[in-house]
Amino acid sequence: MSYPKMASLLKKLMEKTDAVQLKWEEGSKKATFRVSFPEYTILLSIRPCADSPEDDYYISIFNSEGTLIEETSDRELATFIPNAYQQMQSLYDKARRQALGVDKAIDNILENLK
Amino acid sequence: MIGDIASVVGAIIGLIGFVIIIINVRSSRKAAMQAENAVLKVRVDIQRLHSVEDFSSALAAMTEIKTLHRQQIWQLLPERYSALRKSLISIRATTPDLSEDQKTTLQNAIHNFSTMEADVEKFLADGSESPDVARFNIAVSRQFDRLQQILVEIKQHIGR
Repeated sequence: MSYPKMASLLKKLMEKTDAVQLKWEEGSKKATFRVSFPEYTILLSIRPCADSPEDDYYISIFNSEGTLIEETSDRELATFIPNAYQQMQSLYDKARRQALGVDKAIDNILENLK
Repeated sequence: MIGDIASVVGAIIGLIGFVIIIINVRSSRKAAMQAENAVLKVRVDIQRLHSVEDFSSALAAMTEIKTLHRQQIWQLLPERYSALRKSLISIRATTPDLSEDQKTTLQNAIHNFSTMEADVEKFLADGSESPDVARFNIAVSRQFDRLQQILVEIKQHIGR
């Protein structure tokens, strides 16, 4: 696996998610969030870790036929990215908020409370 | 003198004939190109009609999948997901002039049914986590609406 490339991908996803330029949505499985491009799909998920109380964050890439072609966790990226856990946790949280429309809901409620 | 005039007139007539030939060649080439464009347009429209048919079948398959989810007939589902996924891959490859957004929508649907297939296969193999029927059907409905939107857009392009 090309970890530097995955690190670049993670960085770019963070930037584009911050700029609300990606259409994150819920995956078919609970607590998974995905964004699709014309030929690929990226899926974010969390899974329990056997030797730690903290969950692992996973980023997976699926090809145009829906086959998993690459997958890595924050644990694997930790050697190549400083604060990999915090970064993936942050991306996952932002993707979740965007997919579920959390910020939009809060803004709407705040508007109604004015 | 008369010979000179005759040769000048002959040259002029020859030139006029040449110009007429060039004009005729150009107009027939234009007509041939117009005919070729018309054939191409018809061919694209025929491809679009095939896509409409394929889309309609895919939407019908999705409705059937939702029913199978409700009835929890999991054994039949992996095959249905796989067939639907293949159909969507084929639609993406053969539908002319799909936009990037439409291709993204199709990719999203392909991934959706691929993960559902994997989840149901896993459930059937080890009886682990039972698929969430409501969640699955919400996801199928979402894909259905988006694909139907593309179907409408393709229909609007036919004959234009």
